Amino acid sequence: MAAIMAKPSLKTLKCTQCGGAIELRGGHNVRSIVCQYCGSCLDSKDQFKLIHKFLNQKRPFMPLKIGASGKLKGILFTVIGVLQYEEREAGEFFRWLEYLLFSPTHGYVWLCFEDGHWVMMHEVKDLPETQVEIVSPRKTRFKARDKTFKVFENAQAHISYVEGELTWQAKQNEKILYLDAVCPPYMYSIEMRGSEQEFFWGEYISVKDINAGFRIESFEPATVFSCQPFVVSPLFEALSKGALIASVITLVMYFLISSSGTPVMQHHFGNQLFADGETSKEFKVDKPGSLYGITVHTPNLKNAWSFFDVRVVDRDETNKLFTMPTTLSFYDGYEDGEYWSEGDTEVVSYFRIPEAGEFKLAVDGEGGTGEEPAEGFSLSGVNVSIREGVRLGHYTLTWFVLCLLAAAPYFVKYMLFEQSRWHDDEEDDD
Amino acid sequence: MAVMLTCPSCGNQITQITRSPQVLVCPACNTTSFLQNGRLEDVGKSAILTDIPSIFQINRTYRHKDWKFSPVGRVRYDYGDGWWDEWYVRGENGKESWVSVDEGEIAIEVLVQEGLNVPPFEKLSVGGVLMINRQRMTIIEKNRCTMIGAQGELPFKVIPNETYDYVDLLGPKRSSFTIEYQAGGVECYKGVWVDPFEIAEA
Repeated sequence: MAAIMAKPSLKTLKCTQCGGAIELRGGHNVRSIVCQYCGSCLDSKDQFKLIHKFLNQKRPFMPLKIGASGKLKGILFTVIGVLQYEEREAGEFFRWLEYLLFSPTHGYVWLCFEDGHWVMMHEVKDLPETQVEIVSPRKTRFKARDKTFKVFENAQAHISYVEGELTWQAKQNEKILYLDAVCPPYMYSIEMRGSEQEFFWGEYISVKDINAGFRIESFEPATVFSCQPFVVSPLFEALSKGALIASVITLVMYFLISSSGTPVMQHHFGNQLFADGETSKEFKVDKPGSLYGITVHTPNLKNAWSFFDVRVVDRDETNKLFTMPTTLSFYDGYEDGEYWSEGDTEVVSYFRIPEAGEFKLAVDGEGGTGEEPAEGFSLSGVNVSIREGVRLGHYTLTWFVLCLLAAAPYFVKYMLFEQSRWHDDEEDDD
Repeated sequence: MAVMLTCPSCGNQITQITRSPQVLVCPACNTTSFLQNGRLEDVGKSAILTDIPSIFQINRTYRHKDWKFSPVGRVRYDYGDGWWDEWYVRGENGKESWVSVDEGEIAIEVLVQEGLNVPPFEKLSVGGVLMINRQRMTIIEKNRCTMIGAQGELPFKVIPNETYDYVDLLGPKRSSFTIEYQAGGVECYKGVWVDPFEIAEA
């Protein structure tokens, strides 16, 4: 059974200076009311006596009007006052609105509106847990409420417009020194007004939530705000992060799986190779069907090409198992004082032998500096080595690249978003 | 087991929730009764509380982080510029505390049992610092209040229009401390300031 209670009533009064109608919607912590018609600042704790007048006030564009009610975070608030702040930096003016909202259950909050962005802030008693001062430089890190914040800006601003109820007695051109730090979607602010320092906790509110909460049609902003969170569809985010994890796993797998094998034969071929061909010493195949790697290295190949007809033959050199034609070319020089090179002096090929046994390599070679093979072309030394137990892991590497490509759009988008958030700073860094 | 009591003024059945309340305010007729020897004795009408929406309602359950509690009674105090509610709440474990609410400013406090030596009211001023249990606490409010209304079950006898002096202090990590200078002596409460946005209905 409910207790017997009296109903609250909306208080209305006439401005003691101009007679304009004033409606009181705030609670008992309201200290002053600024008449929207004449700019008189009235003392709500002393019979609405005139404290002072705000002169030459020019009402700015206001997407929300005093008296508007709406839900934020599921709590019903009423707009009871509004302030416009102005800041001058490098000859440019920056202006933003701060609406004072009141809820009988949750007290007073500030709804800040700048460049089409909305941030809901309220005073807290949580002081920063690590060292930070109101003048700390940009990107200084500190902790508050177990979150790590980065200083976004600190500056001095002044009040350029006031209307409605306030929880203190604002003055014409009153100056505030502030520090805004971000941990999207949260903001932590330190404000200094005279000798009083206050701490505020803020959260970015999407245009969609503002429009739904206050039944208005505010437009999506084109810029990125300091504490705006990076928002994409949860599925896209989950898939992208999953793809990044998968790419890391496949890369680890590649290093675990791939192997360059162990040497089973090394042979140094002489000039005979280019005359009549030459046969290597024997090498043994213990694991039929496994992958072998053959490296042909021509250390003295320079500004020329060479072709090698490499054949795997049996021990008696009577049966040819297969042929591996191999071409190498290497050119280098200086152009405009800069060194350049193209091609390589080493090439690796792979093969499998289906049966165990002892085998040799029969190699014929030719080469030249022009298009046709040159008579008597030779290289002083061609080294050939064979390794067994080679594991390439090419498929794993392919999956790594594919996963990385799948993850890339999300992270590129994220980096561009963060770049826009800290844009001024990047310019400073430059 | 819940104890049923009968309002001596209107006969309404009232369920006793806390272990040893001294005062119950009948939700039907607003009569304040003292509980003596298991019976309610009418001591007059309690002031009518203005029906301004509150973050709490009697006998509903709320949560602040891991702590669940239900308000069982409240006292309203006027401090000149406005008023605040002191909600008498019962935790899940049966432990009772006080939650003060003043337009979104909320502190959860419990009575300090050990005797503390605190300076007299006259010697304190806003902005001053007190060392309490080796913690540096700053005085953020110094005022006098008047009891203007009550509701539900309360652990002490409320006397309408009774006044007392108090100071509120703020310490590190949102810690709060209240010193009440009442006629019967000094009472201290310690606790923590909480953000209203951290409170949810359980």
